[in-house]
Amino acid sequence: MSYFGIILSSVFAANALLSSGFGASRLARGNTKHLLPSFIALSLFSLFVAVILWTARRFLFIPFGLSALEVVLYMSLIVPLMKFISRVAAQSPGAFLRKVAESGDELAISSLVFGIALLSSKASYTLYEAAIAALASSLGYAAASELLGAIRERLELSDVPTSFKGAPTLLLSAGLMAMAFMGIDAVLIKNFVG
Amino acid sequence: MDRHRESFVPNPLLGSIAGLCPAIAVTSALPEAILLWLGTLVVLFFLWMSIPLAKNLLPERLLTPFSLSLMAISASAYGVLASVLWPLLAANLNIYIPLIAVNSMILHYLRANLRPGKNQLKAPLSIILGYSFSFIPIATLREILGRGSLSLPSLTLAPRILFELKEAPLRIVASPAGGFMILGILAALYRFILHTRRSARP
Repeated sequence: MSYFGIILSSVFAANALLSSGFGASRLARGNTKHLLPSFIALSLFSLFVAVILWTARRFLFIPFGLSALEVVLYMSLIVPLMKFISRVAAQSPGAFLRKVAESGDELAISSLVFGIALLSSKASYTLYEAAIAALASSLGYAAASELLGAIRERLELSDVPTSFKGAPTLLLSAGLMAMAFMGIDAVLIKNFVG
Repeated sequence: MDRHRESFVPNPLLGSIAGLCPAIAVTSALPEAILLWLGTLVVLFFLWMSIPLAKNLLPERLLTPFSLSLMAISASAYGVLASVLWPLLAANLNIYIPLIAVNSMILHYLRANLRPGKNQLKAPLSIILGYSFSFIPIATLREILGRGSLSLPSLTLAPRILFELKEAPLRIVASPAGGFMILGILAALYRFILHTRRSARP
């Protein structure tokens, strides 16, 4: 698949939120503050983890049959490293960088970053392709969560039954959006852009 | 944005909306859902067993890294066991077995229990019961409606089919879009029941 195809496929056909459900709990509970810093933190960490997992899979896990240790590598080495990076960045003088660091600290132990990295590194991609897929998946998640956040704000003002307010309406809206995204599948993208 | 936060209600999946990722992606078939549910219980069990011990033996700053490593090791060991016992189902679950270690419900439990003075026995039981009474029925409903069949995991390669309809009544339910919708409807229903019971109290 071409690089453009990988980007389109990761944003639409295999959207991290709408087709795999990564970060759905975070979104449904309303943890969507600071969109840009959050997106930057997610992109950087997903890229970082995808590159490490891809390299470890290629040179260690697959040759020695140790694929089950991916999660141990993530939780025991990568998460502490991400937490350390976030805490160092949090001490910077810039307010924007501090917000990125704060988002990064929240995202370090989440199914979102690990899920995107696992999907990108497990597909039959080269290192560059895996890195692009991780970045595009982060973009896809940010786009979907921003759209759903806007829908949620509109729904807060609408006359919705009490039991549907909040997470239930957001989940239903996500379902409708996922249906729309289902129209753009990987085969269609491959036929269009190769 | 805090005004959007949901208040915590006992059911982890439908009430506090934790652990949605596997509930959306995996519950389209009951055998896979059972496999993942078991994995979640295994990781929770190991945490429940070891946190009180670790609290007595380890300094506070080592508790979190220890718990995270324990979660990773138990998820990894369960993955190996599942791929030996149910190779086909484990292969279908692909990336979701390692993701058990970062399930937001387990992380929620871990954060709550690393605080001092937490009741160690009641919390996991209520989480397990709440999670089980939502995760498994959702998977059953989605498999019947979305695939027109109901099956259970078996130790042979293929799952054991309990019954099969001629046609799936509502195929969209098996897709992630259907997963979001079913969860949305059930979460609303759960809130409605909770609200009715609370308002019925004298």
